[in-house]
Amino acid sequence: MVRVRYLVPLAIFIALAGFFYVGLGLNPRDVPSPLIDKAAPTFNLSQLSNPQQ
Amino acid sequence: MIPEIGQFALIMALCLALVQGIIPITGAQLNIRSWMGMARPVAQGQFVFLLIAFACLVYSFINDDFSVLYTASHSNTLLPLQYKIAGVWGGHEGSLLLWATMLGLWTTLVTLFSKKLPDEMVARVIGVMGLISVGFILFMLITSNPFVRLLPAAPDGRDLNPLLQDPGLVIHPPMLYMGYVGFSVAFAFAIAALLGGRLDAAWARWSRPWTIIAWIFLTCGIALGSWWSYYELGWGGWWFWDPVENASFMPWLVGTALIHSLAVTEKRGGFKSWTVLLAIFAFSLSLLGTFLVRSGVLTSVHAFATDPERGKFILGFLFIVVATSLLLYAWRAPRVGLGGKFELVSKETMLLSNNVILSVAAAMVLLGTCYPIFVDALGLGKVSVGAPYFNTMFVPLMVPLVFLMGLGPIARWKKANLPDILVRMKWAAAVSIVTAILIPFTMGKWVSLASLGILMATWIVATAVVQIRSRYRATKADLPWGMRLKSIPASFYGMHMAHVGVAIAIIGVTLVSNYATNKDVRMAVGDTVEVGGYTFRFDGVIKTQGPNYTANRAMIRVLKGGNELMSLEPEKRTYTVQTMPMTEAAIQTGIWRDLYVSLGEPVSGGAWSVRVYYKPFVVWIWCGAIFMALGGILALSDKRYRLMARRASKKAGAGRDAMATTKLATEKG
Repeated sequence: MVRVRYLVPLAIFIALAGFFYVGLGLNPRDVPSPLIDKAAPTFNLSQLSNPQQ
Repeated sequence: MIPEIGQFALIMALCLALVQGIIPITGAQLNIRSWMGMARPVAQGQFVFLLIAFACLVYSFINDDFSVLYTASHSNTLLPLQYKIAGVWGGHEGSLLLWATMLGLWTTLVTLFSKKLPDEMVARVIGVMGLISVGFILFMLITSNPFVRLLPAAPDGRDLNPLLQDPGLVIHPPMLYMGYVGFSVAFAFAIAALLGGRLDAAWARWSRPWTIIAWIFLTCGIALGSWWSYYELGWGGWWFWDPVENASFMPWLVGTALIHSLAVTEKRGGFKSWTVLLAIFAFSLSLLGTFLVRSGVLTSVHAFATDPERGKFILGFLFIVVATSLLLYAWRAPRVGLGGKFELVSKETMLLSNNVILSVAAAMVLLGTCYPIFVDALGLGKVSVGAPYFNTMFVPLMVPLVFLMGLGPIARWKKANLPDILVRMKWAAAVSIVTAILIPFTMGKWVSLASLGILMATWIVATAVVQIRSRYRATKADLPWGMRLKSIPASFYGMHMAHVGVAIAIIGVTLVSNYATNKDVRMAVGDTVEVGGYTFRFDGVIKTQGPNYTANRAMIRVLKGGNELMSLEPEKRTYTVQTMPMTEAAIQTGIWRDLYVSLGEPVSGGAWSVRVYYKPFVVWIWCGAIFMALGGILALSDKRYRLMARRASKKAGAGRDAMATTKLATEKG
């Protein structure tokens, strides 16, 4: 005598658990830098050995 | 030798938990009396073995037994005694042992205070708690055994994390865990009711006090955590919407909904399947909290021991517990049937709205907490969800909730008259609106959010006053006033006290969020800074020595109108073993404001960077929590619970069906 609407909490929980399982394999501290593959900014500095240039 | 005894006691506890989880439930299904009768002694025996195991770990800590890996990594000979004892739950393995021991304690309490319950109900409740215990002890023995030896023994321990060397550690985790684990009783009652097909008013009445006790502990635990996080720098203040904080807040929200929903089931026989679902959710969210905190699946400012491997075990356990109970729910709940009918305007509707709002709030917190996992798992990148999300979602939900809080208690069951209620509340409404307009001006500047907070808080207090007054007038007029007050049930006072607690907390949150000020300054000896009308004078830094740290202590004198009020002494400590710098803020707490000073780094010319805060009404946040907890205690002292126990003991032996009828009759009376 299982009615569909009583299965909703279970369905939601299973979806949630699925996400958690995948989440366990990931590293939340490993945040990719937004600067990867971007060119370094142009800058203008004199040479150490020759401060005039 | 002692750690081995602990290990052995754990294994014995596991064996007893297995017996406790299997035999009584089977006995209840097959109606075998002797099997059901095993529930109580086995559960008590399991608790004794858990206590032995816990005592063995405490012994290893007190006696600096660094041949135990867990002790060696969480203690040190120089650690003060109170932190050696609290250090037992300062890491992953020990906190699990504390969890399991508390589960044993709760189960034992159930065995002692369930004399009036039918045998098969007791057998099922204790059995379910035994199965939970099996999961936790297995978890300890397989992945996180606190008694693992370290050979050869370490000469000295690695010391307890300096962040945790604080009075907060002594009391906050035990309180919080008592709350988490306490919800397992409500959960076990719900599962037992589903198994036995007996979901009635009597069931609600039995589980209600247990739920309230667990809720009281959780309230205190969260408040203590918030206070600790307030005075510990770097933890984001009194509330940060950090995953670990949210993990404790979700069961609290659902538990609060459960308390209200149980009231309907007890008094009117309604909301049965909803109440069961809330009981399952409250405990599931407690388990989920353990998973989130322990597995490292989320980043948090205060997750202290994370390990994805262990995360798999907890997730598996969580899955078995929650999926089984929800499956059972889907199978049995459709048979439960509905309670009494009610009109659109009635106490039932208001309590239903309360439940919906609290559940939506919990779901919103869950979504925000887990959103980074969802996005990451779908490969959509990395996000973090912070305070702006939670505040914009949470505050609008609280407004209708607080509005209902003022009307719900006075509404009649079944059919209420809304115009009549509103007329009775006109003075409360007028008072709260006027106060809400005036108070922000006395604070210095007008902020509409502050006004809203004051409106909500005074509405709760004013409606409570109106309701207590009208309840008083309904008592017998010829009695002296003391007797008249006494004739009102304690649960009525308890409810209003808890509601006023919410009001007090709202005032604290609102005023400190809108009117706190702070300054970051560089201070040399003799420099002064003015914050919140107080003058702070820097009188230099001295070096001091603690038991396991060295410190620079600043002397800061606080002046007002030329008079010296007090001196504050914030410290910058360096703990010798882990060479970790720690900032100890100096706080002067008062009813109307806190003065909060923290010492930064030394800067050029013998000066130091200093941060000074003025935080109005901040202590009200935790006072509110104390009121809520006291309200819960008052509600528990209601004489109808004692009456129920007395009647049941008189009728003992008269057969349980007769008893159930008595209880139903008591409710109607």
